[in-house]
Amino acid sequence: MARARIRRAGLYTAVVAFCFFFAAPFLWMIITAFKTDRDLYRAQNNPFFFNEPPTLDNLDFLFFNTNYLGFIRNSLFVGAVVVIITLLLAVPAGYSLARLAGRWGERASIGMFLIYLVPPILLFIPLFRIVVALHLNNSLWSLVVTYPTITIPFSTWLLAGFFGSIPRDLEEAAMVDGYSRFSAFVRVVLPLSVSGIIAVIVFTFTLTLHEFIYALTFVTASAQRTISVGVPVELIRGDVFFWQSLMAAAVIVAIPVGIVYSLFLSRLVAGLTMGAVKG
Amino acid sequence: MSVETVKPPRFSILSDNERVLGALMLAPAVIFILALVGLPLVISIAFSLSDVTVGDTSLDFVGLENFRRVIRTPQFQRAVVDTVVFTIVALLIILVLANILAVIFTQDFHGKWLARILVILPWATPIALGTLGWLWLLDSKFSPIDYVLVQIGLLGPDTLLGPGLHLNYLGREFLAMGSVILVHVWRLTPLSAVILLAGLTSIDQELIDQAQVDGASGLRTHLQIKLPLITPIMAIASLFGFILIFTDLVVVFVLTRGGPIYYTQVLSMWSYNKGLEGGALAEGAAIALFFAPVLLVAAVLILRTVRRIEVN
Amino acid sequence: MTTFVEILALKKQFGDVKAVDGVDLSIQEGEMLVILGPSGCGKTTLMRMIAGLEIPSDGEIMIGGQQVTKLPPRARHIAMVFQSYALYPHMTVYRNIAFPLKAQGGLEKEEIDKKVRHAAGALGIESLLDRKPRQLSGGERQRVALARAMVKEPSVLLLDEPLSNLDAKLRASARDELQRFQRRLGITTIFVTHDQVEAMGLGDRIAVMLAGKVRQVGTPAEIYGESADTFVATFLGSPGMNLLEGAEHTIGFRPEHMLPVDGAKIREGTTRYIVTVDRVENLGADTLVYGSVDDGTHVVAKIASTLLFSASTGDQREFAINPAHLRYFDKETGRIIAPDAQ
Repeated sequence: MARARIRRAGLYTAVVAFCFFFAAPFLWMIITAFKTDRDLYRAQNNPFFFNEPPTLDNLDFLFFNTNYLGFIRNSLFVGAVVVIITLLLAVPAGYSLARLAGRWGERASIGMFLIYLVPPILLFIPLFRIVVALHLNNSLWSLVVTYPTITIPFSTWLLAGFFGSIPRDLEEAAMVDGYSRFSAFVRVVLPLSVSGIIAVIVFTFTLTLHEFIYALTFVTASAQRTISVGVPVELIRGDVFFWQSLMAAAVIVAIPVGIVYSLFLSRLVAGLTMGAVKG
Repeated sequence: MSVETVKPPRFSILSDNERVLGALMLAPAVIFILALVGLPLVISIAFSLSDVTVGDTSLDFVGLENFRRVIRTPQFQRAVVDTVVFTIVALLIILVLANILAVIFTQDFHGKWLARILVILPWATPIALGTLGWLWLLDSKFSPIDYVLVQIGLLGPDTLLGPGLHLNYLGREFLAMGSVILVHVWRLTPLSAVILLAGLTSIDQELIDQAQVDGASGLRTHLQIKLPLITPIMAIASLFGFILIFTDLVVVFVLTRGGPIYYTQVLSMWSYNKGLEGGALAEGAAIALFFAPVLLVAAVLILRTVRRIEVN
Repeated sequence: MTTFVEILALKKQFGDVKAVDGVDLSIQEGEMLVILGPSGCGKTTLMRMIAGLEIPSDGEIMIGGQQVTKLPPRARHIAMVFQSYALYPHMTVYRNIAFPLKAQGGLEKEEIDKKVRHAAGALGIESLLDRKPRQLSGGERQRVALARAMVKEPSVLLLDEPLSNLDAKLRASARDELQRFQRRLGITTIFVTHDQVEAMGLGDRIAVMLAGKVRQVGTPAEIYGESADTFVATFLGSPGMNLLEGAEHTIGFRPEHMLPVDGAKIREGTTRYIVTVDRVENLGADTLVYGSVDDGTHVVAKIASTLLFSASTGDQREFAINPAHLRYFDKETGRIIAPDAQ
C-alpha cells in the first residue's frame, strides 16, 4: 500500500518536473515582458518576481514603436494565401495518391513525405537566385511562392493517408448511383474530410509561421518581415536588446499557436507512424 | 417483362477515366514541386560546381574546386563534428527522456490535460520564438538560471561552479554547444514522447495482460515486450528527429550565430554565413550539399522501416 | 473430489455498471469448468478477477485454500491463455515458452532449457522452437500458448475463449486436443466461452451466466435437460427451447422433441400442437421447420432426416410432444417449476 503511494508521489514529481522544464521558459517570458528596465537589469533582483510593479510600457513600445504589428499582419497574409494555394494543390493530389494511383500510390505518398524532409538549407541559395530573378525579393510574394514547396508535400502526404482511411464503399456506392469518380469525390469524400482538411489548414498555417530560412533570406526590408524572422532580428538592434518587448513579442504569438497546434497533434502522429498506430 | 433501354451514361474522358483523372489531380502539385524543389536542387548542384557569387552572376564551371576549398578550412572539420555531435547527443538524450515521458503519460493523473498542453508547447510554437526564450534564460549577464545557481550556492566566489557570478552559456565553447543541444532536446522531446506514447497505447492489451500473468514485472514488460514491439515507431521518430536537428539553422542562428568564433557553426549555419552573409553563393551551396549523402541514407532507412511496418 | 477454487459472493462494478453481480462458484480439483454466456454477461470480467487482472469490488477468491483476492497474477500460481493466444510476436517459440520461467527468476539456464523442451515435447511442438509466431498455423499457436502456460506448472489453467479465433473446421480438432490435454494432465481448468456447443462438448460442468449472475451450474445433461430457467433453456440448444404462454405457466419444449404426427407412430397421451409452417430449412442431417402455433407464437421444430417429412409455406402440420419432455416455468420469474409442484 505504502509502495503505491510512493509510486504515486514519484509520478507527480516527474510530471511536475517535466512540465516545468518544458513550460518554464514561457513563464519567464511572460514575467519578463512586464518588467521595468530598472527591475530587469539589476543582477541582484530576483528574476521571478516583480521587484517593481509590472508595467505595460514594453507592450506599448512593442506595438507602437516597432513593426511588430506589421510582422503579424505579414505573417497572417502569407499564411492565408499559402493555405489557399496548398489546399488547391494538395487536396486533389492527396486524393489521387490515395485512390487513383494504384499500387504505387502509397510509395508516392511516402515519397511526398521524403520531399518534405528535403531541408530548406539545400534549396535556399538557388531559390534566392530564382526569387531575385523574378524580382520578388523583399516582397511577401517571394514567401507565398516558396512556402508551398514545404507545405504541399507535407499536406499531400497527410491527406493521402487521411483519404485512404475513408472506406471505399461510400464512393463506390455513389458511383453505382450514377456519379462519376470526381463527383463522388466532391460530394461524398470532401464533406467527410472536413476534420482532416482543418488539420491540414492548421498545420500549413503553423508551418508558415515556423519557417525561418526563406523568410530570413528572401525578405530583408523590415516592414516586409514576418514574425518568425522579424522578432529575433529586428528587435535586437545592434547590441541593444529590448528584452521585455522581445519576450512579449515572442510569447504573444507562441502560446496561442502552441495551444491550437496541440489540439491537432494526434493527426500528425497518426500520419507519422504510418498508420501503424490508430491515431 | 420488358427491359427499358438504358441510355449509356456519358463517358466523360475527364471524370470517369481514372488514370487520366488521377494524373490530372496530381499534376499541379507535382509540377510545382518539380519546379520549385527539383529545379533548385539541380541549380544547387550547378552552383556548387561553379564560381558564382552575389556579385559575379556568371556561371563558370570550376569542377570540384569549391568542395576542395571548403574541406581544407579548419571550419569544415569543426562544422561536421559539431553537426554530428549535436545530433547524436541530442537524440540519445531525447530518446531516454521521451521514453520516460511517454510512460508517464500512459498513467492517469489529475491535470493530465493541462500537462499535455504544457509539455507540447516547445514543439508547437514557432522555433525562433521558443528559442528566444532560451536566449534570455542563457543570457551572459541576467540569466535566471545563474540567479538560481547563486542562490543555492553553486555559483559565485568559493563555489563549485565559480568564481564568477555568471556562467557565460553562449560565450564559452562547451557551454555554447551544450546550450544548442539543450534547446534541441527541449524542442523535440515532446514530439518524440507523443509518438512513442501513440506506439505504446497501440500495443495489444492482451500481450501486456499475458506478460502480467506470466509473472513479468513492470520494468521487464517495458523493456522486453513493449519496446521491442514499438521499435519501428521509435525508428521513425528518431529518423525524423535526426533530420530536423541535423539540418537545423534556426536554433543556432538565434542562440549563437555559430559563435563563439565558429565553435557552434554547424553545416547549415556555415552555409548561410558563407553563402548569404559572405556572398559566396557557390561555396555556400557546396557546403549545404554535404548534407545530401546523409539525407539519402536517412531516407532509405525511413523507407525500409515503413516497409517493415507494412509487413507486420 | 475436493474444491480447489472457491469464489464467494464476487462482485465487480465499473461506475454504474455491475459487470459481476454476486457470483458463488466452487470448482473441483482436476475438473474442467466452463463458464458460458452471451457477450456482456460478465464471464470475461469474472475470469480476469480469478486471474488477478482486475480487483473485485466485493467478495473473495480462494485458490488451493489460499486467499488470493487482492494478490497480483504472479502470486497466484495460475496460467492463462487469451483469445488471441497472446504469443509475443517478436520472440521465437522457445523464448515465448521460456518467458514465464525467466520472469519468475531463480532458475539456471539449463533448468529453464529442460523445462521448455519438456513442455514443448508434451505438446508435440519441439520442431517449432525456432519459429516465430507469425509462421505458425492456428492449431500450432494454441499448442505454443498451452506449452507456455504449463511450463511453470500452475495449479489452475484459465482459458479465455481460446477457440474463437480459429476457423470452424479447425475448431473441432482443437477442441478435441484441448480436452485430451486437460484430461491427461488433470489440471483444474476454467474455460470461458459464448459458444454453447463448445461448452457442452468440453465441460465437466457448465456455469451459465447472464447479466453478471450465474443462472445455473451443472453437468451438460443437467443444464440441457433440466434447465433452471427460461434463459438457460433458450440459450442452450440450436435452436433453443420453444416457449409458449400457457394459462398458468410458461410451457417449454425443445425443437427435437416435436414429432410430426404424419411421419411417425405417435403414442396416445401426447400433447399436440398445430403449426402453420412458415419456412423449412433442410440442413442435411436435420430439417428445421419454422412456423407459428394458433396464438401466433413462433416455434421451431427439429426433425431428424430419418423421419419422412415434407411441408411448404402455409401448410398446417400437427406435432406431438411426449409430456415428459415438457417443462413449466414461472411466468414472472422464468424459473423452472419442479414437476411435483405442477
